[in-house]
Amino acid sequence: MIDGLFSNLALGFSVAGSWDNLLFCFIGAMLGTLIGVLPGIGPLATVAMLLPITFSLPPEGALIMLAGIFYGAQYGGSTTSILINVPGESSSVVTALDGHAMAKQGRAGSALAIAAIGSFFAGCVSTVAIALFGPPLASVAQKFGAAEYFSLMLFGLVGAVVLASGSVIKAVAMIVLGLLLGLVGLDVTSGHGRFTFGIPELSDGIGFVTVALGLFGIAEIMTNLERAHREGRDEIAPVHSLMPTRQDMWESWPAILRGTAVGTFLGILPGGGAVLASFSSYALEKKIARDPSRFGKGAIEGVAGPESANNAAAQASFIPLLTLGIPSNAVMALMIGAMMIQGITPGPQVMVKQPGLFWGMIASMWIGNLMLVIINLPLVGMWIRLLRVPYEMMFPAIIIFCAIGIYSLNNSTTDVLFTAGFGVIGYLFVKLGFEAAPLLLGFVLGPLMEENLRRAMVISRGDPMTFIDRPISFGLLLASLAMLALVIAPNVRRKREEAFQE
Amino acid sequence: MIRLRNPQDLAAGIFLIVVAVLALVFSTNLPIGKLVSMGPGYVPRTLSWVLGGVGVLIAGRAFTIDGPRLDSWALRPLAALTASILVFAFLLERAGLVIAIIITVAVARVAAPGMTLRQVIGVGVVLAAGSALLFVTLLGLPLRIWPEFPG
Repeated sequence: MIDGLFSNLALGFSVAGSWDNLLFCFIGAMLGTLIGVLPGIGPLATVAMLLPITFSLPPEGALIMLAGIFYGAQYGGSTTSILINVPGESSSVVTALDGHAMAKQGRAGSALAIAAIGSFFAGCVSTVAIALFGPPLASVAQKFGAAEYFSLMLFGLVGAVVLASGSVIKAVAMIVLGLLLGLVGLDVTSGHGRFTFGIPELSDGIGFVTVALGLFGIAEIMTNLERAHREGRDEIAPVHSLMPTRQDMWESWPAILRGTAVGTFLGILPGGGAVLASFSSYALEKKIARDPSRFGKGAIEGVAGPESANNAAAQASFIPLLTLGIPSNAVMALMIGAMMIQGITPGPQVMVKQPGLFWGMIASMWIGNLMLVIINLPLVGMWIRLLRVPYEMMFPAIIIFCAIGIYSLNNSTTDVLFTAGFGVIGYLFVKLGFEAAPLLLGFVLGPLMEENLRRAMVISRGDPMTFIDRPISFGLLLASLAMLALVIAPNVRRKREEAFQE
Repeated sequence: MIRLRNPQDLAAGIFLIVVAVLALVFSTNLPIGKLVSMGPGYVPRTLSWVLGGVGVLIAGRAFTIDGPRLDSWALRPLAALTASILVFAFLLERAGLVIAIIITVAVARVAAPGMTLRQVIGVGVVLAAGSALLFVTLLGLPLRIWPEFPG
């Protein structure tokens, strides 16, 4: 197995190491940081915005670039939250707590460097984890039938609900709405148009990018404008030296190790991912610290742990995506969408049929992380200058790039109109207290779940007991039930609320 | 005494119920089929019922658990931003990339005043030139840069 690991990784590095792919990885990491560093724009919005530019690339290049964009965006988000205390998304909220406190004390450089080093270390470990766990998981998944797949997807959705940070029942609502939206278009089996309202563009279904860009890109800009209006501009902390002091390093490395472990584990879980990982790691660091009162006032462990954890989790969440074809969070749902647009059906067969693509992507994750450390730290001055550009001048540019991107997908102005519509819907969701991320998950899984449900019912001649008779399926359903029972149980519920409040 | 404790949840619940009812109405003509051979209406209708049920639960919860009030809407950025995208969609094929971008920037300015007229023109021109160079020259997208003149 170890031999296989090395030959697989060697194949991966030969793919990812080609000049073209190195360039795509580099461009992705740069663009991702560039957009991700903008205040209020998280990785999800960044990936959604930049998705269209990858479509003209070959599949390997496109996915490598997207992975680069994703890491870059995450890194950019941490930079912003350390320097100006405006976290782009929930996984950097935690970083802002101590990171920005450090920046105020003039230790911004140290915080940035530790965040980068921690992320890189976590990236190395979780790359190996993917290479180790990927193949066995994929071989299990290859034995899956329709019933198992249906139960697995249900398990994934339940996980997303349980681990979502907001209200449980509202997350359920968003998933169901997403599942429904995913069904729009011609029904493959019968040829009936569903919810198409006679609009020809809808017969292929609602464009995945349209939904993502509207709900996350456009709606995000709207809420940012509103917030900027209310709160005014923030100070940017100065960056002096990028070298962490010896003491900072000494205090950080155990936190980096713990964060990596926490993140890798939580990233694999359905619904897990960067947000949960960084919150958990912060809570852990605070709990085991000798002097918990330092936290929130510039404790370096409060940066090192969560930053490592969120990168480890981000990377580990590729494991269920690449081996089972199941996205564990909304960013992975975007990746699935991108794969499908490239004509790749995500699932265990990718590793077997397109080993170059699979291992190339894994190798490129490591390369992308390395690039971020080498390139971004020296470029921090450039990102700061970018942060000084007033948002009023920045957002029209973002709008236009989004619009061009969405138009160029199908050369269709209808898509642009739909995106604007989903922008308004996204804003409505914010006002009604709905989190849109679970919707995207449902949207991607909707058609797949329906197909597998139908197939399972045909195979079992309409007997729903098939989900219980088949042991793997039964196990997954039991696990889903257990997770649900856990959140509904009152004391766990209280704990969960506490965890998200910290 | 029933008291409304969470207006946001009430609105959210009503929104879901409305969507569910609409989905049921628009799927009436889809055959449901049987469990063994599901028609195109089976899953959509089931999901609509579930969505409506969740909506009722959320709306009902609004009377038992305290929660946030309805947030006010920032209509100006919302309308201006949406309008700027619509304008872009309308102008792109008719007037070409450059004009579409400059006008879109001008409309977007309404969303967040702050730029002077000169800045609007400056940002518009830079964006137009940059996009033409990046998307058309470098990435080779089939976008029209200038309006098509007759003759």
